[in-house]
Amino acid sequence: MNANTAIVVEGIAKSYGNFRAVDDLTFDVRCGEIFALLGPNGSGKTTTIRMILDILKPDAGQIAVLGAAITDSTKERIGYLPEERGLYQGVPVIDIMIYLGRLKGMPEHQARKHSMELLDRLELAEHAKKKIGELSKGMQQKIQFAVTVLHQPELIIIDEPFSGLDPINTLVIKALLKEMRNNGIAIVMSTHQMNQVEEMADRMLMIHQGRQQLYGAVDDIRKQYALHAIVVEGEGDWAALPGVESVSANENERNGTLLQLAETATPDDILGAIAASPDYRIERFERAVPSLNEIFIRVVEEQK
Amino acid sequence: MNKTLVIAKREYLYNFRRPAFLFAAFGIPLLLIVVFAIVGFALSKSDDVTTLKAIGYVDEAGVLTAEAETLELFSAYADEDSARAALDADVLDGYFVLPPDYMQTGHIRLVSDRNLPESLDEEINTLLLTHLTAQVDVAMPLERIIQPVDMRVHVLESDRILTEDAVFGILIVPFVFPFIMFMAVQLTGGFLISSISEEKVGRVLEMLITSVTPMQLLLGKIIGLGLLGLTQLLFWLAMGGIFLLFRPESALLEGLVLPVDLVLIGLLYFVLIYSLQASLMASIGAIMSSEQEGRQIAGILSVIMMIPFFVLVTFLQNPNGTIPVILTLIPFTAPLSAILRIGISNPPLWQIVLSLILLAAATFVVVVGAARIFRWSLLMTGKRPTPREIVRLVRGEQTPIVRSIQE
Repeated sequence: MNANTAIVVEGIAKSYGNFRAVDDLTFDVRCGEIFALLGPNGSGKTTTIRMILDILKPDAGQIAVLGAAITDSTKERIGYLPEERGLYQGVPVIDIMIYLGRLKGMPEHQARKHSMELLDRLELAEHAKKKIGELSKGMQQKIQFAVTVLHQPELIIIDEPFSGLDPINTLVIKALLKEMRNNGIAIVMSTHQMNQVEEMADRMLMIHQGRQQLYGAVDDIRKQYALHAIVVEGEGDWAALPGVESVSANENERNGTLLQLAETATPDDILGAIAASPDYRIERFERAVPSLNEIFIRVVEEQK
Repeated sequence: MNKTLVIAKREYLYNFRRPAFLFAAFGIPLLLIVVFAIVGFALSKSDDVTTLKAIGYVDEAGVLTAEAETLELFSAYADEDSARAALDADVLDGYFVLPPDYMQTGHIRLVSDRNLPESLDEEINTLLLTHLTAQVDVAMPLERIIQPVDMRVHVLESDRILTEDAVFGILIVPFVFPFIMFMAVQLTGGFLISSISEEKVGRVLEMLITSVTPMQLLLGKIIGLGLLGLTQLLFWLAMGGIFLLFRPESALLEGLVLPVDLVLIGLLYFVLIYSLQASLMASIGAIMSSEQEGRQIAGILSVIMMIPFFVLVTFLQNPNGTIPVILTLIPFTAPLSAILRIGISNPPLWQIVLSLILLAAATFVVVVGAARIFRWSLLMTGKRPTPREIVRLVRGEQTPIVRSIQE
């Protein structure tokens, strides 16, 4: 195994009775990357995470985490924020952080020091002595996040990281995650929010009904699904342009007009033709690369 | 520090500060002591003959001779009219009349316009005895006539010599001790259920899942709350001891201090039955979706533990009979049965040893099973397993997780 690999999953499968939750998954997660685990509800994301964390045993296949099969001491190097998460309501913030830090094997003084630093960073230092229940929902979520990274894990696994977070807190958490990624930490985020993946993730695995659908660098996957077409906004008779085969409304969330190109035409040719003619006014010009959402829907449709 | 101990420490300190614990552990005994002290004080006041000014008497029977010394409290009156006048003038608190036929009937008539202390009877008794014995020529101390018996009981098994009151003390231990134990198990078991419910409902459990194993979590809770129960138990015992120290006239203490062996065996039973009950309650807390449901089932468990008290008469009549022996061997009823029997009789050692072994084995099985149920409960919320699934869980099969986590 490569020293830069945080997780190696080989051919894992898990069934619940007759229901095959995860079927022959193989992938790896590298240090210093944000890896997205994508899929609709019930696709097997949480089961996969639970197998990685040794909460469930796979029926088949192998998993290595931080260099070897997972042990209790490996778990202390992992930060895990489950989708179902919460904290003791009646306990002061700092107490709960120290307690959970100690359960991750930190000495008390270190847990206290790191907690205060993190609270400072998350602009929650003044609330350290307040009880969890006295904080707003957004603050509580930031504390949950803080608890997850308190012990400076080498691998962070977050299930639906931004669910329920307001836009400002989302930005704060995103910045922190990117910073940790840049410091060489491996981050796995499981989500069904495709736009988050496009923005944050370096690589991704899309699963549907427990099986791998797409796997690789996010940019590569999008390019792989790119059409031989461009999307434009502006004024002019698009169909009259040389090299344009057909014109249609761009049927996705980003609007514009979709120009299907002839096999021999390139986007550069079209741009050149538009620039050369006074009959066109252009506001937007881009390659028709589908969003992950579109790719996702296409993949699911193809399955049917 | 070991993670189990970190959890135990947190559970202990967190629950120690709960008002429910503070009240049960410290409030109730303090309240009882205050109530006893007030009642005791009031009783002793109203029963104190030294608060009386004087009691008069009219001796129409000619019994109270001048030769015997008359107690200071009493003063003689020639006839009832003068005694009555003294009572009306508030010189006397009351007077009594010995009618002419007193020697035949023993009747005396006490006259007063207020409540007189009960112990006045004793004073009058002593007065009459003093005077009557002065008229009979017997060569024996007056004390022997007044109190012919002052018994000391020699307990052969322990070679201890006890006064009568102390014998009562040694009998009361087997009853009081299990009761306090029951209270402690109940209270801390209840805390265990609410602690687990809180973590489950508050979605804390899954946050802990990569930090600790279910067994560490379970043991940490059981140890922390067990120590809490023990704290309560010891405080109650200490308060009981202090209470008796302040009432030195009560020889009860003598009996209470004696059965050290009984207390030690009791503590051993406490630790085992508590672990058994706590693990069961933890499982219940993990399975049930609400704290209230959990507590109801836990209540039924406690009733089972109390069965020996329901058949107490059988224990008292024949402590080594079939039913007490069977109940001593059944893990749930073993602690109460064994303590009752050790307190009131001398059960065969093998029965106690076997009872402890069976209880320890049952505790071990339940703790392991509870950890499995607990582990499973980490993975689901809001759903309840069927009895068949619980059996499969305890046997270590993973299948029941099926329904719970199809995301």
